[in-house]
Order: sequence, then structure tokens, then C-alpha cells
Amino acid sequence: MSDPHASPPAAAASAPAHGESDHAHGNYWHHVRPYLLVGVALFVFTAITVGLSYVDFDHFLGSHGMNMKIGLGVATFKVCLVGAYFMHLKMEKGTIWRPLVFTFFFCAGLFLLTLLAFSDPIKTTSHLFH
Amino acid sequence: MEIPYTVTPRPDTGLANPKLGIWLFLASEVMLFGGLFSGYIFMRLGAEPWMWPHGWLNVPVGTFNTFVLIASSVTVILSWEALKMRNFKAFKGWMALTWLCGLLFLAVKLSYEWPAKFSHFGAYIKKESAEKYETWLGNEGPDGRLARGLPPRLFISGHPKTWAEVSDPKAKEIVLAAIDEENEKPKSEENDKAHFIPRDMVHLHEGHEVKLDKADLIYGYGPFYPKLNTYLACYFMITGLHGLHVLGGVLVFMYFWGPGAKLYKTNPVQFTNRIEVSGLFWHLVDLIWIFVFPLFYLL
Repeated sequence: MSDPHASPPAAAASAPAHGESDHAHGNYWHHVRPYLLVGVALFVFTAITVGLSYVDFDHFLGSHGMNMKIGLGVATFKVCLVGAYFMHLKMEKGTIWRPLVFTFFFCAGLFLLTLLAFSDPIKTTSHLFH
Repeated sequence: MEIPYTVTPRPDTGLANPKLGIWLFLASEVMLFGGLFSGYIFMRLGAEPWMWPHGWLNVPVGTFNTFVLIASSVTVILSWEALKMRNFKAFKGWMALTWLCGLLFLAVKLSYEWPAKFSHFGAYIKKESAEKYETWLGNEGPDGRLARGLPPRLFISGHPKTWAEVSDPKAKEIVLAAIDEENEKPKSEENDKAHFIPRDMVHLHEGHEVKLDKADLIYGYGPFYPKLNTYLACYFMITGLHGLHVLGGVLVFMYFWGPGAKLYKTNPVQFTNRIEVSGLFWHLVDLIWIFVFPLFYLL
């Protein structure tokens, strides 16, 4: 495993230690501290996202779609926190990163297709049931 | 036969097989939800402004569910760390909290959020018939929505006197015994924006009910089902698929918390890896919700 706190080899761990020492207990909280901080940050940014959605940024900044951009910007930051810390991407190997870069590329392509569709819009639609 | 590289890294990839496998699976999941989000954006940008609703979902409830899911992401990683420290008791505690959070998320969705939609009536009025319902739409006049530069309101929602009228093809009209605040005071500027705390419907006195002629309504009227509009179709599709992922994760966690935990006694490293891999899946479920929440509830 690429994680610096990776589990010990199977042979060494075949007899699990029951009852932990104070040292191990201290280590545990030392290891989980970043996760707790990221969790708190995610709570705070969720509250910020909700608060910001009630501010009319289009009006204040004089530009269309600003609320959408700001809201999704905060969401993207939160997603980066989850990916980097909870999913350990911050310290992951290239073997993991490479397919993810391709995924990101093709996913971006999906969104680009949407934008391309708007450069050649269908002007009229027929509603059969109206 | 023993499956190789479940615990030790493969020499060529440098990773144990489950780790690489789950990441490839997560990549396919990103493409699945990426396609759905792309479709959502396509339909939202292409929708007429009056057709795309805003403020239909209960924001405090959605925020609560977001907190629950984030908390479960923290507890699952704490359970993994506990296993790495060979503290099985702490693992059991954190893991139980994780699947309880998952169940709570699903319970809120299935016992409150979705049923609230299914018991609410809504109908789009055809543009040519809008004048008949002006009292509840508030588009015309110097203080109307059009004069204020807003898209027309062509939607009336509330509770029908009887649901039988809605589904009965012989019934020519639908009588609403209660309507939403937006239709009760359609010209109030308070109703131009979404409210954080959802408001109760306004009950109408006998003889003052809203009568909707079915011939004036656009196809799809009725409960807030996916067929009512594109927004609801996207909402049920994406939150439904996400909910199935939550259910899948909860079942896996319950197994590892219960009968699957026996593996810890014989091979704790493999068991720890299983928790790590299932935890990665759970973080993706959280990650998807982080986008779903603002897109559907707030923006």
C-alpha cells in the first residue's frame, strides 16, 4: 500500500494485539486528527454554501450565473478535500493517478459535448402532448 | 485456491489488487455520474426559465442529510484507522456509526423527502390559458412579474380536494383545496425568491377553491412525479441512483461489522484492506452528494 501509515505485513499481523497501549492510543488520535479537521472544514463549507446561495451575486457582481459558479466552486473545493485527505489521493501512486487523469479528461469531454450542443441549438421543439 | 496479491503489492503495479480494482471501478462511477450531471446541465441550460423551478426542496433537511453523509465519511476513516492500530472494539463502534448514518440518510429521503413530493399536486398552465388563472399567477399589471422583468409564472401547486379527480380521465376539472404561498400572493416580491424554511400551504375556504380545467393544463400534471417536469425527472433519477449507492454501501458495511468481521481473527491485514476499499467507495458516494446538494437544493 502506498499510504505511509500502511498496515503491517500479513505475517507480522497474524496475531492481532488485543488491548492497546497508551502509546498506540496516542498514535491513533495523532493519525486521525487531519481527518477530523477535514470533517470540520467540510461542515463549515457546507454551511457557507447554503449561506451563499441566498446572496444574489448576479445582482452584486453584475454578471449572469455567478451564484452557480460560486456554489459549484465551493463544492469543487470540498470534493478536493475529500479526494486528497479521505481518499488519500494526496499521497497516492502514479498507478492510481494515471487512470484518474484519463477519467477526468473524458468526463470533461462529456461536459464539453453539452457546451458544443449549445453552439448549434435546436430552435424549435414539438410537444406531442400539449 | 488462494487469490494472489490481495494483501501484498503486485510487483508490476506496486499496489495490492483490491486497491487498483476499486479505483478503476470508481473511475467508471465518475463517468456514470459525470454523464448524468452533464445531461442535467444540458437540460437546465436548455429549459425555458418559467419551466425550471427553484426552491422546491427543503434546504434544512438537505443540509442535515449532507452533514450526516460527511459525518459518515469521517467515521468510516476512523474505523479504518482503528483497525490499523489493531483496536477492534473502536473499529466496531465507528463502523456501526457509519452504517447508522447511511441508514439515517436513506430514512430521511424515503420517509420524508420523497413522500412529501408524491403527496403534492402541481400543474403547468398552457400559455394561451394563463389569463384565466391570472389571480394565482400574478404575471400582468404594473406590479406583475412581467413588469418586474421576471419570467412568467405558469405553475399552480397545492393539494387537490380529492386525488380521484386528478387520475380520473372522465373528470374535466381539478379542484384545489389548498395552494402554495406563491399562488396565494403571486405578486408579492417575497415570493420571487426561494425561502430557507419551507412555508405551509394556504387552505382555501369552501367556495373559494381553485378550479383547474384539465384542458388548460400541460401534460404531466399531478403529484410531483418525474413526469411533471424535467427538473423532477433529473432529481429522482440522480438522487435515486445515489440512494442505491448509499444502500449498497450500508449493506457492505453491515456485513463487515457483523458476520464479515470474522476475517479479522484469521487475517487482520486483509480485513483492514477490505475496510479501506469499501471506505473509498463510501467517500465517492459522499463526493457525489457534495455536487448533488447545491445543484438541486440551492442553485
